[in-house]
Amino acid sequence: MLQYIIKRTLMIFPILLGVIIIVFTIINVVPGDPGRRILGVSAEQEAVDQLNHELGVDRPFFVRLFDYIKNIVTRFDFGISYQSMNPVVETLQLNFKYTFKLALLMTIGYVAIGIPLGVLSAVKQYSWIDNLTRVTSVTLSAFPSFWFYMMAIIFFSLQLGLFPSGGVDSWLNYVLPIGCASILNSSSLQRMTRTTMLETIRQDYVRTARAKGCAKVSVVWKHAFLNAALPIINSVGVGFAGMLGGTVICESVFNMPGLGTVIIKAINAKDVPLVMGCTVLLSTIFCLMVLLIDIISSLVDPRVKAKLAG
Amino acid sequence: MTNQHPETIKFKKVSQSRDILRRFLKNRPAIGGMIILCLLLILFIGGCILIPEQRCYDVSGTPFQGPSAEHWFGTDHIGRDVFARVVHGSKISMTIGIGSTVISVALGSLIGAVCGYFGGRVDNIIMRFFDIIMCIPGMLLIIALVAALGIGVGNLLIAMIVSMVPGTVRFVRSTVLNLTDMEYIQCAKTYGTGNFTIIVRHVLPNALGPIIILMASNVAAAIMSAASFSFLGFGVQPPTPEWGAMVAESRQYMRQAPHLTIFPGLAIVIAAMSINLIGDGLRDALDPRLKD
Repeated sequence: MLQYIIKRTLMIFPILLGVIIIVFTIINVVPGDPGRRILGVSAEQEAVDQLNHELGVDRPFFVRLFDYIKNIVTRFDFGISYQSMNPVVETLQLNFKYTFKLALLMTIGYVAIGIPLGVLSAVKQYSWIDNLTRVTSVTLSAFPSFWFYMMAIIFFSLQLGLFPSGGVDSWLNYVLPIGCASILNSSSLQRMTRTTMLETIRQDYVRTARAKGCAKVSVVWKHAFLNAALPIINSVGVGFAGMLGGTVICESVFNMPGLGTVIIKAINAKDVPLVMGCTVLLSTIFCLMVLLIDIISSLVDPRVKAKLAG
Repeated sequence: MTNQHPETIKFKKVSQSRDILRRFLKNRPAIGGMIILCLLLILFIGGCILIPEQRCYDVSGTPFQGPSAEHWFGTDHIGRDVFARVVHGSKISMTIGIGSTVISVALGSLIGAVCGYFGGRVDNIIMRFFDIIMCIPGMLLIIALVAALGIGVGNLLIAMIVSMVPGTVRFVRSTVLNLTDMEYIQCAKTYGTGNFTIIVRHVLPNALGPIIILMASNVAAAIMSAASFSFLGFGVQPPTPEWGAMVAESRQYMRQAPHLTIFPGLAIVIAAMSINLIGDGLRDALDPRLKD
């Protein structure tokens, strides 16, 4: 068991290294001229060359790649942003908390909607409530998130005036983004919960539990759901990690600060180190999250445990 | 599988596809999706032929008109006809959605089939490479690629293909892995059939069902994600009509003219939903586990 955890944890390093190399390669495929970008078209060529030299972008590709990895590993240094000339790390630190908060609240929201609905529609298969949730989830999966957010703004904020349409001044600002994202994302979780629950609910031990007179609630949640929970936990964990990288649209529509807003601004300003920093940071968190879930599920589930032992 | 008489095989093939068709036709939501999609395509193709593209850029109308007989979907902030723009916008939105899916599935199927069929070291190296790419969240991968290649429709298409290939490869590879143990593949091998022929004639046709399902479920997602990136400003640039870009343009006028947001978005929703319904129907019809 311990062996598996250690092995799995050690595996993360080559993967992270690979991620950094790939992101670096992608972004540096097209040769750029950051000095010219920062100083503008009218700057002297010598000044541009000088700045390029200071930034180190005139060195060969592999030297830069090696330096980039070395700086991240030894000093947690992601380079300097071309827009503000501040360290990228500062911008990341400043904005990460907003994105993290948003992603966490969204995850809590969609779990709170998706799992109960999924369990309910599995328990009452083919009932009106099952059909209703299934139709809703098929419909919702065709809604592009940006449009859904904007429709919510038009209706709840501009027509009814219930919630502000953007910003992060009070908790009221979070109601629309979190609510919409939760509803949209819950549809796939609901479908998944339904499928896994339908499999476990037909198992013999569930029938036994029912036959020996367990309360219905306890049969559904303790016997059936707990055994169906593992793939659900997996998907929620990966969903949360993916959401950290997917708040871009939400932040953009609702004018919220965060890494998504940073990344869009950075791309429009062609601020390469900042784009790279965001991507590397979020991919790293994604990988660590997947690792964490793998370890947790191997610890929690006796089936996985037995498979690893045998 | 002892009887390899060509006629027997031919007969079986026909009955199987008829069986699939019968199951698909019995699926009412799928037929509904099919009808909606056909109507939508007739509307868009007919519209593209009947409405001159010039009308998308014609600013002679009064700005912010609501829907009327003259302007079915009203006019936008500089008086352009929204209906014409939605109709002509379908060209780019649908092309990116369908194009990126078809190309990525074709590429991914080929790589996946080769990996799954041969296995060994090459398979190992290629799969580790794709595993690493899949560690980068999809949205960020596309953003990083667009940042590198520059903003534009072509580059967005490339970025979407790159982000979709690893998933396809993994999916097709696992399907093919199950197939390589089948008797008919072994049989073909003992006949001395070349590897290429086996992959093209025996492996890929038998993996076709899952590949079609994958394609159907990817098209809708691709249409939506193409619109999302255009919305963020990474794809189609104004004044070219495209659904995501049109919604983005309407952001400042949500209060005085909500119809500017509603109509292009509805086009995405209806297109994506009908394709999703067809995809679900195809999955039910093609998946042998749900046969009975």
